[in-house]
Amino acid sequence: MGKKILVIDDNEPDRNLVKIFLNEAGFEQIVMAETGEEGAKKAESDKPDLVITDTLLPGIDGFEVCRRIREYHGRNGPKIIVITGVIDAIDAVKARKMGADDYCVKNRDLSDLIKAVKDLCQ
Amino acid sequence: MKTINVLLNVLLAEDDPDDVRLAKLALSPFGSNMCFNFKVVGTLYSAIECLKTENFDVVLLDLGLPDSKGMQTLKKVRGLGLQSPIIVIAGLEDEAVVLQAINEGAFDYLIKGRFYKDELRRTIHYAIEHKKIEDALRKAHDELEGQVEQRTAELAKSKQELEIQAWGLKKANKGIRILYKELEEKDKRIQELGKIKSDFVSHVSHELRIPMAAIKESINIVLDGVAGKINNQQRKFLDIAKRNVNRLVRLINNVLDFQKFESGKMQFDMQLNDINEVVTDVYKTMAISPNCREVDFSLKLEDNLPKVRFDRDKIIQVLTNLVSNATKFVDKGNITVATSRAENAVGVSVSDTGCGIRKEDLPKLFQKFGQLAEGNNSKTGGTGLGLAISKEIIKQHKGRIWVESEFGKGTTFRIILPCSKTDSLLNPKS
Repeated sequence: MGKKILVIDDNEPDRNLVKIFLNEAGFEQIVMAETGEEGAKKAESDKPDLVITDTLLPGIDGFEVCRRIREYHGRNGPKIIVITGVIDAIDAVKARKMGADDYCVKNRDLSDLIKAVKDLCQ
Repeated sequence: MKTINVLLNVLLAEDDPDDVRLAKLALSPFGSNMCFNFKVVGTLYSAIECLKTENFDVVLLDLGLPDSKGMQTLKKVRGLGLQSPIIVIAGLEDEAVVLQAINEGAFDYLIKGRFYKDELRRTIHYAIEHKKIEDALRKAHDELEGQVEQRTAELAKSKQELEIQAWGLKKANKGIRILYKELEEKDKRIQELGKIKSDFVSHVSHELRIPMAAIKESINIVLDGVAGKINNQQRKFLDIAKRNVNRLVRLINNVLDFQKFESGKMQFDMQLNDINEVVTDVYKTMAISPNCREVDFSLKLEDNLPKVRFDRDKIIQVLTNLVSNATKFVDKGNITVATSRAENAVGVSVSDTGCGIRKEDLPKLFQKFGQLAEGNNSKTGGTGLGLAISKEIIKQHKGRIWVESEFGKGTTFRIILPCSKTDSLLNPKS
């Protein structure tokens, strides 16, 4: 597949879990970031094909990350998936408006996220 | 006579001075409410220059000018894209083209030497009125067009907004469904584990009872001297063994009781009973127990209480537990068991003048294994389940049990058992 994916999550176990499930699904090139700022920077420097960001992050949140990526790259930039453990329709709308392509729940086996990643990387 | 109240700018493109004079005469202000301000030019060139720089309410255009003849004259003026109405003035030789002039956008035409003063004035009047109406129409049209455009843009925006909202709802819905499904699975697993635990506990408890009964029986046989004479020291140690075996049996029974509550298997034999009789029964039984001999144990009964529906054995269990608790905490003092009347209910209280309970410990009291940290369990011999079981039993009777205590002064446990409506009809108060 050869797609590069940037994962932004401040929670280390969550971050690693996402990586493991992505590896299992066949995605090998994973870049990690712990904060929104770091994520937004790596979205520019590392040129990922897809960004997965948590909503709640220290400093700038996941929505702001979306906004910055879209501001920098426009619509031609990486695809963005916003993931959350606290599902909320208002957040989903906000994510969409900030330029996210999908909004997923962090469920036990991350099946929702992996499906969204596969859909966007086709 | 009408007053002059309109001043109109007129461009007159006419090279013949006689015709100019005639036109001016025709439009003299006398007897009219229109007054004209003339600009006269003799060539098409100067007419165009004027029209480029000034606004005219009406243009009177002779088609035969020195630098342009016929329809060309009109076409060139029209080509400027002006809004002012044009009235064509044509010579007799041009009569054939005047109809064509209307098609080319002239408002009207007049034939030289053939029009009267009133006719010119009227034509100008119509031209101006027509222009006003046209302007108003154009304005209304433009406004409408603007509104339509704005509404279209607004609609497109709200459609987009709605689409995003619908998207968000769909995504959130999907997420919630996923989480709900996982929660259901988790819940199912917890229930299964609960059942395994419950089966395990009741199994182990039953298995423990049989050897415990054998141990108890054996100790009793030795203590009774059936197996041979024993000395005082042996008796002392066997007494300790017996006390602890009894405690263990109580604990096992309590655990089993609790298990029954949790699995909903506890059966209640609800009968109409006299609470005073039951309390007296408990009093008599407890009064002869060794623990109560040291204290001042008294009974206060309220007369003529209505009969209440309850499970006699279970209520005796609760009251026995409360009195036995009290005896553990009172060395020298009073224990009082009392009944009372309450609204549609009867009350029972067990009070002692013992050490009391600290305020912070009160909430733990009715919890499973909620014995107080400072309490000496081995001394009191409690199982930590008595009050939790009592609370369950009272709850099953739709009653209430609570505690009032002052540290160092004493404790009162109170129970309220409700009368059902039909029962209180059968048993009127006093």
